[in-house]
Amino acid sequence: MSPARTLAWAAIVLAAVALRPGDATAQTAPYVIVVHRENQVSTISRADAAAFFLKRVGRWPGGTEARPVNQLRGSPIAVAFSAGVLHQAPSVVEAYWQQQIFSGRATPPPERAGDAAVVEYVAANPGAIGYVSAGAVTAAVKVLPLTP
Amino acid sequence: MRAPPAWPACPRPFRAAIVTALLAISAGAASAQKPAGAAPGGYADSLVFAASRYAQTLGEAPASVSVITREEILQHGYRTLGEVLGSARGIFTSYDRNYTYATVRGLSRPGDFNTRILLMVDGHRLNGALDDSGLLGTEGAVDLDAIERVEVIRGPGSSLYGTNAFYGVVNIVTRRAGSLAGYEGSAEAGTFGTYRGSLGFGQRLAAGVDVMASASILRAAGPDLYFPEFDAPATNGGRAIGLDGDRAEHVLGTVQAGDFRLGALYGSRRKALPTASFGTTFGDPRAFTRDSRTLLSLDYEHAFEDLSRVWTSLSYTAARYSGGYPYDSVLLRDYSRAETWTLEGQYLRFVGEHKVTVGGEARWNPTLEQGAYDVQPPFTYLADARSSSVWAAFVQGEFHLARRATLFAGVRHDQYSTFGGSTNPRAALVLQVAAGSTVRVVYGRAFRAPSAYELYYNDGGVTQKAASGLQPEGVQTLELAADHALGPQLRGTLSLYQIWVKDLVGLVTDPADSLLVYRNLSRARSTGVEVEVGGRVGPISGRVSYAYQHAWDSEQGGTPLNSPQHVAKLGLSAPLDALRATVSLDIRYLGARPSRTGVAGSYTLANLTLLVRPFAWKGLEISGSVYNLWDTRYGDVGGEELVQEIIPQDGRTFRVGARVRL
Repeated sequence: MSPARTLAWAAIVLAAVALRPGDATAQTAPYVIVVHRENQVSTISRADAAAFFLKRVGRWPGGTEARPVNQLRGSPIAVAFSAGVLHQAPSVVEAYWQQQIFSGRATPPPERAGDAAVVEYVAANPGAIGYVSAGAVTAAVKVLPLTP
Repeated sequence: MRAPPAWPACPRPFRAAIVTALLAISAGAASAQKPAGAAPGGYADSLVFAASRYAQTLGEAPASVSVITREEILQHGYRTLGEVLGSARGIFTSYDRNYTYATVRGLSRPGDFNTRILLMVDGHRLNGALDDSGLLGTEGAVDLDAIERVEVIRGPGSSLYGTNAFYGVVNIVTRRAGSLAGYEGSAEAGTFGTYRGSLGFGQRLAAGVDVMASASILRAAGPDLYFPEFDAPATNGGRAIGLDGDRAEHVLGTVQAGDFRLGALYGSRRKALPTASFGTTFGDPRAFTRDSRTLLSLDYEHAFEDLSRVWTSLSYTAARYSGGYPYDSVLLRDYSRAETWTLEGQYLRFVGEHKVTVGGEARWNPTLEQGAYDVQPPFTYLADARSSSVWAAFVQGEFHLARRATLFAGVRHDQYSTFGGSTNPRAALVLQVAAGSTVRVVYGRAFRAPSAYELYYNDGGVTQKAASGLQPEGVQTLELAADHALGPQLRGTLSLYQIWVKDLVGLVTDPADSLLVYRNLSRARSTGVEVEVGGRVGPISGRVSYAYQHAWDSEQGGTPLNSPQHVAKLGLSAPLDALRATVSLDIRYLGARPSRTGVAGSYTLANLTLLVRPFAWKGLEISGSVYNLWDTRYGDVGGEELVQEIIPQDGRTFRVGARVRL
């Protein structure tokens, strides 16, 4: 990664963090993982979360079909999530999906514009998993603390 | 090298044709309220694989690419892969009533069996191992009903694929289970006693297990033909009656289970020969060619947690040919059989945002047999059996130099057991100059290895001897291309290119013994410009293209055989909502091009197809096509093996068909 790109990424992540209302979670990540209220899982590791969002794992431990939902491509929260959870630049993830689509294996998760739309999607789908700003969490969804 | 030519005027017949077309299409569009027909393939249709050996968008690709989708094939009533390729800018095909030959950017030789185009199915090589032939017409190995998309990559591809990827690469992407989603059957009937049927099946059996199968059969009696060159009482006044029959069968199946994919295909075609090629007796019904291809492949593709990706494949290919050539009472038969085992693999890794691909390939041809013999009285001219092998390694990088600049750089080395090695690089700089606008500069080298046919074919010293010391043909290409988004779904493309070819293999008489022998003979070059506008405007979709090409070869000392200066195309589809139909019009203009001693005249052809999906239920599709709508009389340039310099083509023909999906 070029210095300019590294700086750009750093600026975006920092901006995303800095622009959020200050609360405890802002110290670690500008997003929280949310799932359907009835999901039995209580925490999720970064690797497991990545596996859901890359559709490398398709089902929850109970057998429910996993339904990941993304924020809009290029949005600060999606960029931060890509770096923090998928450990990949958005362009790399894009390339991954292009090959998956081409080979007929899988299509990327649907995108929703903004926290409220993601919360709505997650609340409506039992297998859903999404990410939103901590301040956007409502009682309609459950937060899964992200373990390393 | 000459400077690129000035912009030429649009040929007058084509101008008239465009006006006619636009009137017809706008009449159709006027009745349309909204787009009808099947939904387009969406994002997947904007992806191409074969330009880099991984999926990328057309705008990102380091080459000039066209993708023709299944929906376009159905809407335009294309019948063969050759007709599909013929819709791509700068490419046209010729038919000598035996095989179909593609000319890319003004370069090819009549009768060259498409050896300078790499033909693949799902990334697996289909060119015959003995003679390099790529089959495009009804002889093609894959039926159109098994095809989801066809990728056409212009320019050198040897840095990724090795031999044959000379003027371009054509990759057939077969249909997946989801494309069929159940059972599908079709039946068609057409002029000249043409009948075709197909059956298909595709289903997801379990999570991650997809099965697809397709089979088809073609029977065509063909037209009666008249060849003025044979207009004499002894040869039935030049009339070839009932000598143009064509019969083909195809099967294809795939099973995808997780990371594994098993594929099998078989295609066979038998064609009667009406042309008395190779000096055979005119009007003798024993003249024929038969070609078949078999491909069995097992692929494994896995994406690791860091999104790096490995692909590996083991495949078996068989290419067979046989022909019957009557010389009065004697029937000469010739044949070739080639079997190939291929082990190949590649590994793609992300380094930051850069991509690095390394790969290798080993091909072993345990069987390379060719022969010729008289049936009665028995006499064997040739019975040659060989084996050969080639190994290759390649590396390619995609480097994001800056926010809007991407550099592709790759090189491949191929090492042959026959002649030695060839190393071929490609570099491309892709610049995103503005939102939706891309400029690319591509330089590449490619080669074609001398084939076993060229190396070893002889008739025991009667007229031809085996070649020794043949070296690969080489080509260098430099291209500058620009893509620009003219609207939300409309793109314009302009490309300028120069192609230099050396060491083209040709047949020559050795003065020492007066025998014909293949030698590295000639050079060629082509300079050209292509412009295309394609996409969708309101309810109308399609593409319009024009190519100007100026080619030269040392053998002719001027314009190569069958090389036109102007190639123009228009292909438009518009919905006719009142009929729940799509009407599509194809118009193709081909400029005059040299035949052996004269000129094949320019022509303008139009095809019209109506595709009706009469119910909201998409399970029934009825189509009707008129080919050569204006009944234009035209001919294609034939090769050296033909007395006829120009081979007459069909006049107006019709086809109707129905397709049912359950």
